[in-house]
Amino acid sequence: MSGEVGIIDAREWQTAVDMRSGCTLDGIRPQWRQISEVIDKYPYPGDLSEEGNQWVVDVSIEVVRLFNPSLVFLLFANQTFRALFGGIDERTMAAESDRVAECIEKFVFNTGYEPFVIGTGGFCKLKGFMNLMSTDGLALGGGIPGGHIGIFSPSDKDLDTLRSDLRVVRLVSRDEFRSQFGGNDSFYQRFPDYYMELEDGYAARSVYGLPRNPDRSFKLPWEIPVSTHLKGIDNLTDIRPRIEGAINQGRKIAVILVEGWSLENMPLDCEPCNNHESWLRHGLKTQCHSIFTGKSFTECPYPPIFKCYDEDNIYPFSFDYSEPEYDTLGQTAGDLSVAIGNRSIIPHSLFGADITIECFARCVQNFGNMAVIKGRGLELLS
Amino acid sequence: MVVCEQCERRCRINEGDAGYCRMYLNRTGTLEQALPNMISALMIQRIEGLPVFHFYPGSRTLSFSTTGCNFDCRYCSTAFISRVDPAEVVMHELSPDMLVNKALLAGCHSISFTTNEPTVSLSYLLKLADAAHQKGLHVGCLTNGYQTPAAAEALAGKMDFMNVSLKGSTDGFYRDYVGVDNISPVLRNLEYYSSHVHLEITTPVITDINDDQIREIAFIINKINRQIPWHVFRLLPEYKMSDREYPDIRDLSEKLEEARAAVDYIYFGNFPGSEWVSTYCPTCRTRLIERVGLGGCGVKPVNFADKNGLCPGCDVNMPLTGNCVDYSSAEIEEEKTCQVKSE
Repeated sequence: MSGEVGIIDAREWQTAVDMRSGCTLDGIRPQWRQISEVIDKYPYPGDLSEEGNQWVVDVSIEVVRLFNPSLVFLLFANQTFRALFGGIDERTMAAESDRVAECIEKFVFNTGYEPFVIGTGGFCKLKGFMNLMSTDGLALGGGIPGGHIGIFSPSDKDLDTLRSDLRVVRLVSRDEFRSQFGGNDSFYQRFPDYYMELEDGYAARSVYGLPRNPDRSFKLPWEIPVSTHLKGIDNLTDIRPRIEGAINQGRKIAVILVEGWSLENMPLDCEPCNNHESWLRHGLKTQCHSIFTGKSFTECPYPPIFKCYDEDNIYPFSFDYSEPEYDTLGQTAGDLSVAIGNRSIIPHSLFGADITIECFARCVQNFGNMAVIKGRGLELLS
Repeated sequence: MVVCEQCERRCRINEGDAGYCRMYLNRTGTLEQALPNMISALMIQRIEGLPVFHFYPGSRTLSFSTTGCNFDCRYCSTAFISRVDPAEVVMHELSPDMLVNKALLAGCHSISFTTNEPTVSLSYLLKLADAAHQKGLHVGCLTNGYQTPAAAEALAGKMDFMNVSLKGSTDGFYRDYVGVDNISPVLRNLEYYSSHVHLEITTPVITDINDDQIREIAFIINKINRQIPWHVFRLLPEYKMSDREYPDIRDLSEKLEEARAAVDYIYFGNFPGSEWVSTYCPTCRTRLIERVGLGGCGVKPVNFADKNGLCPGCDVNMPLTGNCVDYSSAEIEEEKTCQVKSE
């Protein structure tokens, strides 16, 4: 068995897997029962259910009661799926945004943790789709609309066409990107031949474009809202050292990421934090990397877009991520960290918590939930 | 008026109208394909994710979809693409040659028509097969098997692999939950496909709707060829049955254990962590291909006992078309072809 265990709950049925190989283990060990009982007790209601965020709070309160960790990560993502695929109007979105604030209040009231709330950015109305299926090269991106697109092996005709398209706001070669941002070799080994950004509101249709029609798109912000008593948060990379400092002082912190919250609609007192490096505005994945490692996104092995289907090695339940991050806030701060989130894969792959509980959903289909135990979590439960 | 001869609905379409699937039109007295050369989605995945387990295991496929369906399954999990008005689906033009080029760029070994019913875009699929075969790529599809004999012959003549959905065992089920008169065209085509193309079968199971038909479905497969791989799919109902409970994994596992007496290769998936996705020798129970079930349609092979499917325990070959393939090899090493054949 490797250093990471997954416990899967597919409703009234559970199994344990080795996260590295994906293979099934010989049953759920008695010392993991506390975790398996939590994921059995709280079945995930589904990405499109309006109870999805309540699930995060209920599970997190229970997990904090069980393990009393130094550090908690929460990720509220229900509003993303409902905004994009739930057919809800602006008024409903606003009401649900207020309910996220109530969820946070409930968590804080029940646990006493000091909240550090980050709004990851809002949505905008979908203006239309850009067909990138018919390029001569291979375009990747647009799974959930908005953000980053990679072009592999483009023809001269492709490049001319893209450069003349008014919806394309940036088209940068790998070399240009590297000379501007620097970064490690594995980042650029995966980096596309060309990196492209579309105007906010346009979604790409390419390989991995979702067949479901979204109602909205992500809007990548230059700044995002942060609500905290900690001072000196100007950039995403400032967050890790500030939280580590607070934990070292014996404070108990809950880092709470809320999708859909921007400076315009965050219902809490907040300050702006840069969400960009030079001209590159972060999407959720590069945000998480910068927040949890405290390093530039180009120090991550993964660029914003890459041939994830080529990642054929290990950690099959982590999908894109065959090299999980180990030097993260979740692995080093305090004596134990836990993460709970209702967006699959990202919490256990990018937060690095010792114990993670997340929904197990794919393409908004609800397959149950999953716990991942590693590092100090496995030591605690051995 | 024209009669559409693609599926057994045999729609009689008046001028200016469309058939049931809304993908065949009568504009000027002749049958026309709606939305020709238009596709709705592309995805690169393992062939196991389709699911197809006995055709070049481990290989990489470019799957694509169009829109529309000739069935109206009340529990459909892809209704957003299959059961909506085709005019509402965002489609993009991609000629067969361009689609083949995409597959080659992505290092795929095959191209697969998935998600919606290929019979509603049959001419595109057949042209695609010609273009793909010229470049050495295999082509396959997932289908409900409700083609006319002529369409079935055309399809089997061009496809390298097919997975046919056998949704129930009775006319009543097909009438009440699928929206067609009877099951017999599907059974006729299964029999035909079994001797003309690499065939696998999938049965989506819905609690209290068709979970009591497992034994009968196994018996149907047994009569055709007990070596046809059978994928039992734990359906998460959507569309008109989204309030249904999920099928109980333990109950279904027990039923499938009994079905092993009739069918040699039974798989049970669409839930993460399934131990029913590996291939075992039906004679000596040696594990021939170890796979991990990743939820959704994700299945990853992690270990092959023998690249050509020879059981190391009893020296019997598993029915396998082609050999096991390195997912990242880009090219298939043609070593062996061992078709599933009728007994």
